[in-house]
Amino acid sequence: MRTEPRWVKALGHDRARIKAPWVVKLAHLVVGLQPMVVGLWLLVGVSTSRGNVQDPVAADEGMTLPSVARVDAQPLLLLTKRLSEALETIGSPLNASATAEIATLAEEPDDAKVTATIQRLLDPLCVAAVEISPDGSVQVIAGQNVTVEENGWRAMLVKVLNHANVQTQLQTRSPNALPIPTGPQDEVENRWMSLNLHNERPLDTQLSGLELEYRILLISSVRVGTQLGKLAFSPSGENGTWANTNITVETVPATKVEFRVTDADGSACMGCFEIRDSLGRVYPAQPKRLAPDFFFQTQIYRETGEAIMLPRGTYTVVCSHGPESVPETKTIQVGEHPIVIDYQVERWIDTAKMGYWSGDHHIHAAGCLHYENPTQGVHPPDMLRHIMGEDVKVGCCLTWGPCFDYQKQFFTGRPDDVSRYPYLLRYDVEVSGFGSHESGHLNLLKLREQIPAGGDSKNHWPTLGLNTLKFAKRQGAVTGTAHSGNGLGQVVGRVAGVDGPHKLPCFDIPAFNGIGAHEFIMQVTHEVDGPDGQKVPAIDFIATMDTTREHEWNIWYHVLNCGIPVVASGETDFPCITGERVGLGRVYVSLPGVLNYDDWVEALRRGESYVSDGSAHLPNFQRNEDGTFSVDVAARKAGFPDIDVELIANGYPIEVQKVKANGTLQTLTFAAPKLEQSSWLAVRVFPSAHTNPIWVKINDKPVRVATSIEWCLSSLEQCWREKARTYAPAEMGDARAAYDHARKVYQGMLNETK
Amino acid sequence: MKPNNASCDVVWLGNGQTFGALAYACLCLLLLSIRSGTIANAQDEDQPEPEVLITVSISPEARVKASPGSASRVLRQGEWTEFTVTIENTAGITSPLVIESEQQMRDEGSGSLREPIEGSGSLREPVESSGSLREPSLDRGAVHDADRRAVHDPERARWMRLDWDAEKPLTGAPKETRRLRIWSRDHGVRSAVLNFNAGQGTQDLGFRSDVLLSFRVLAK
Repeated sequence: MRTEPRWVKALGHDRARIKAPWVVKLAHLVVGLQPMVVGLWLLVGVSTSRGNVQDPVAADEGMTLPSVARVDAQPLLLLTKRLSEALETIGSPLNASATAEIATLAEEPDDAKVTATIQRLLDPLCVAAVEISPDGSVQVIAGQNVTVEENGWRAMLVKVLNHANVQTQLQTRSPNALPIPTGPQDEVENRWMSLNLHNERPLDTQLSGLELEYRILLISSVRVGTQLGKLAFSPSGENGTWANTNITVETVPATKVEFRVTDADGSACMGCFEIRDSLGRVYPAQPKRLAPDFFFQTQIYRETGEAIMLPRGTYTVVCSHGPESVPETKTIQVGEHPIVIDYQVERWIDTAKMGYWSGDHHIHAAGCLHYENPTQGVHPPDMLRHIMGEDVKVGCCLTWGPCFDYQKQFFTGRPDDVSRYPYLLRYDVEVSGFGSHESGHLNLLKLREQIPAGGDSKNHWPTLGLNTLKFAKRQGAVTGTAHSGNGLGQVVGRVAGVDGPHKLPCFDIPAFNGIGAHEFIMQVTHEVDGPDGQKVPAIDFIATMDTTREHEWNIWYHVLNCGIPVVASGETDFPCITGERVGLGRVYVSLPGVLNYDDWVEALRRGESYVSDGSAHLPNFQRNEDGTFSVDVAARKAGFPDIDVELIANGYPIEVQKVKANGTLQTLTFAAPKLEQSSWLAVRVFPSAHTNPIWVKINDKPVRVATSIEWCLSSLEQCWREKARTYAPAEMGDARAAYDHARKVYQGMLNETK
Repeated sequence: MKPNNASCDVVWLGNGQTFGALAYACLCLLLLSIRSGTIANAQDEDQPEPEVLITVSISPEARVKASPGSASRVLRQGEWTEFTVTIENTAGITSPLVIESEQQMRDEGSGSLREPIEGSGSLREPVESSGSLREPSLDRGAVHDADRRAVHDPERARWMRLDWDAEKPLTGAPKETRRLRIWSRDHGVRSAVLNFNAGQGTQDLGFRSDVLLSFRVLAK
């Protein structure tokens, strides 16, 4: 008796599922006479269990895939919206006209018309339809042929006609997608395909139960040319009912595309490239990326001499090099022969040449959007590539909860060896997911020892943030908050005071119920032992530029109004608050001459800097001998013809000047303010940039704004109410003493105002 | 143990004497109370929790992620269905956990359904205005009839109500559970996206703060 071909066995279906017995016979032919069959199929088309393999034109006419007359529009529209978002997420968006037409369906009152329109738009994108009968039997009908680039991935749709209304997870497999390792030698040629049903967010992993929906199937091929293969689906699990169809996959050869990247001055640099084809699909394919390319980004970073492979066609390439560059869009034609993308950066400003070195004090190589497999996060060369590509001169890569015990190996107490001047990458720690994290995360920079004595991991750290700071400060670290506005949005009370523009300052009392600048309100009143035993402030900076600006700047203003000289720094918290790119929040530190990490972070600590999202710059803020203030200003903001540049005193604007956001640098001078009390002054461009303060004493008295001191006292009590529970019993005594100290300090300041 | 067969027949003491009238009345009252469920008993406490519809994970960075649970996604039109939401709070935050959904019905002043009203305890029940609640039949043709009326409703996309205490702060404990009740205006298959946050900007990235759920809503 003749045995079944392996793929028939592999599919595991019962023979009754195959409606046409000749399909089984054909399978024998495919195995034995594949080359001949391929040629024959190319000439006459391939019969399937229900119809023919369709060419795109036939599919476009909507004549082949079975259809549904009407389903409820509500679930269909929502599922289609999520499908569209999923396609966008993996870099294979629907075309603009289809997206626009789908959007209009929300107003269409006739569900049958909605159903028909969705099928007309999406059926041509389907490689197959899976029809589940009310009795649970399954048929698969071939749809569109597939064109995929060599070693690339193509996203296709699968139409599901779910007459059984099952809510199971659809599965797929193919004899052509079985693994080559461990497979028999005579099957190697046949295993040219890879398949992946994409069930990731924003999709639901299981079928909706609606009679009509579409799923995403990713297909890859390792062999150039036209291949015939099998595609099987089951809505009922590995051991359930399977059915299959034939598919045709044309794999087009890829061509080498090399990069040549130079900075504006001609020096070599790393470029940022977003590459899309004429249908808007992103290259290299996002769902299959590993570091250094991040799957959650559309862009890649490359420098001179590096290359990628692209199939023949026309591409749009958006080139950039951080927010100081002017993005450039190129159209490239990829043909048979290798080509070069030549990108020279055009800058609208170069802050490094002005002595201001950009930095992002809070980026991560693990956790949040990073994967934990196949590696636990990514590695120093990957992170360096990203900070170079975004022109972040100093990247502070902080090891934290996820993958701590893996990532801790990269801490050296100095910039990592992969650093390439002027790009410096250094590993330090964010206290997040362990230790004192519940009372507000802390960024610890310039550590000499990564982990406190008593353990070699993250489980023995203090629960009181102030004790964490004591550990860091004893070794000379520079310390600050993280994502400061987190937990400061909900309002639980208010003290008397006049709110300023943008609610800055604002006298509402926040809930202190998150992980932002919380215990900070207590920590700023403390001095702790420095490396030489001298007392130093427990905390140096407040992190800004990555949470709600009003919240993070407001607590900073109130603390400054107590006369406490905390400085602002800029961060992104990549890829937790955003995975878009590193350096969305930055600090620009003034450092004449050669950049080195220790000097840079010490200048940050002293506040010789401004913070920015990169669209506005405020270097050289100073008080002149005649009492006037001046600052250099440059801004380039799409959609903003002008920006307001405000001089503020104790948080309130006292002079505003308009500046064109056209990228030109100019010096603004503000009149000498008439100050009646000691004040801090700063310049801001809300919400894009802020200088650190300049302190002006009147009658040699410190800054003491009574309303802000009241705010700090009330906030301190609210923080204690929320955070007392987070302190370990062994540290509760320390905690009580630390908050009592803060009460006394604030009360003493308040007394000074009376 | 629940005395399902509790009655107020004469209660005999071991020595052949009966209770006095007052004691007898008190005992009857007690037994009735137990039977009517106004006094909790051990068996009630042992009743299974509603199935987990959603697990919410709050990362150490206070990013809120939601994942579908294993609950059967079945509702009944015009009735509340109760589910469990499990919250894993590794950040230890104490802000309220909020659910937002574009499929929630808007407040209605004169629509076909009145606003949910306060029922017993914290549960709120919607009530029907006279004759205006669509009364779907079980056959599919009637379903379509109902929906043909529904299509003229500009709020077609908004089909459900959620009962969730959005102001209750999290406890800060590593794990806690909450009840979520869902009410559906329609029947058939209905889909919803539920988005979770613990304050402004806490939603996790990449659609991880929301879940897409499709329900089979049984006709009333």
